[in-house]
Amino acid sequence: MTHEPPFDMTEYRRRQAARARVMGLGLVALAALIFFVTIAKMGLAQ
Amino acid sequence: MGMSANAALVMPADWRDFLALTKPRVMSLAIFTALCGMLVAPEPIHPTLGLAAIIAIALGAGACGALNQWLEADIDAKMRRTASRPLPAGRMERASALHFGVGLGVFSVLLLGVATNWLAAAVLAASIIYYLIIYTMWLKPRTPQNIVIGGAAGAFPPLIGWAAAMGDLSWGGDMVPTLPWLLFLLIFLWTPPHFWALSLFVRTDYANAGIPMLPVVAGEAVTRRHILLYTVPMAAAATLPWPMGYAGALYGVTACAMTLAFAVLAAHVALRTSGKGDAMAPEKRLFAFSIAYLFILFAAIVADHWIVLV
Repeated sequence: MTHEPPFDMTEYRRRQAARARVMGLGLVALAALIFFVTIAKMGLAQ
Repeated sequence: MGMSANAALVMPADWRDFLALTKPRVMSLAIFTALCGMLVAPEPIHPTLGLAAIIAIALGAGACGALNQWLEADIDAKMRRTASRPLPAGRMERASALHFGVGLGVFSVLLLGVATNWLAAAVLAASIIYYLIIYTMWLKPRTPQNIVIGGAAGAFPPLIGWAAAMGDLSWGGDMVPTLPWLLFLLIFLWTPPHFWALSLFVRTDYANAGIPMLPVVAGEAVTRRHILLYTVPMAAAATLPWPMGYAGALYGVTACAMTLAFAVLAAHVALRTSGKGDAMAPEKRLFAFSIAYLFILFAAIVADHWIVLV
């Protein structure tokens, strides 16, 4: 009979938090990119 | 939280594993060649839109890497070179890689279309589909010519960069290729000697995984001859922009010198046979040089273009 190691809840939370931070930064970067693309497109259209 | 709830939990993959899924090193060559394709286009692109286009192309290349690893997780597990990737190492669930890859791919095409034009977006979409379906799923497990035809997948970025700036990809009159198509041809013809040099020193890996790479199917001697043989059309594609008037002496001299060095290394590989316990140094040297070769040639054509402008 094999015993599985106990689930590492601290590591689980750490990874969740790190992924949430990366996702948040990605979304902010995306919003900024779309904003500047829109401004550039408006400038070209005029 | 109780024990029963904990037992149902699955450890989420680290964000670094998602980054590894995109094959950042392979991505860098795609980004660089796309940027060069964009910078040599006669119509300058708005810097913000150019940046958005490069980000979109990078994300598209990342999607290819992620979906390739999703498709080939079983094969990767059998090869020493790839066994530590997130999926074969068990650090990520397959579904996560699939969702990540599809999301990244769809988003990259939409971003490129919105930021530049839908021709560039269509070519990006075609390159992702070509890489995954034609190369990874169809050719790679079936034929030793896999990278000859599949090489086109890696040759798309300069076309996409050019299309993003120009909104046009016409071949040119009288069957004479325009510059972006010559750059496409250069990467297309560079891919076989580049990958066959690699396959010579990771031959056992490919054999274990059942991938019919040329050294596995036809043997080392044939592969060595093919490397030299394919260097000839590659050399033609590399030097043609100069006599055709697409580039000046800076590019021409750089291309001739670099191609001569490539040919010397390829000839060294072609004329030798490996013994037992061979470190395969000439093959590794050719592989490493081939990467520098492409970077330098693309940098030279941009430098040449900008010198003319200044």
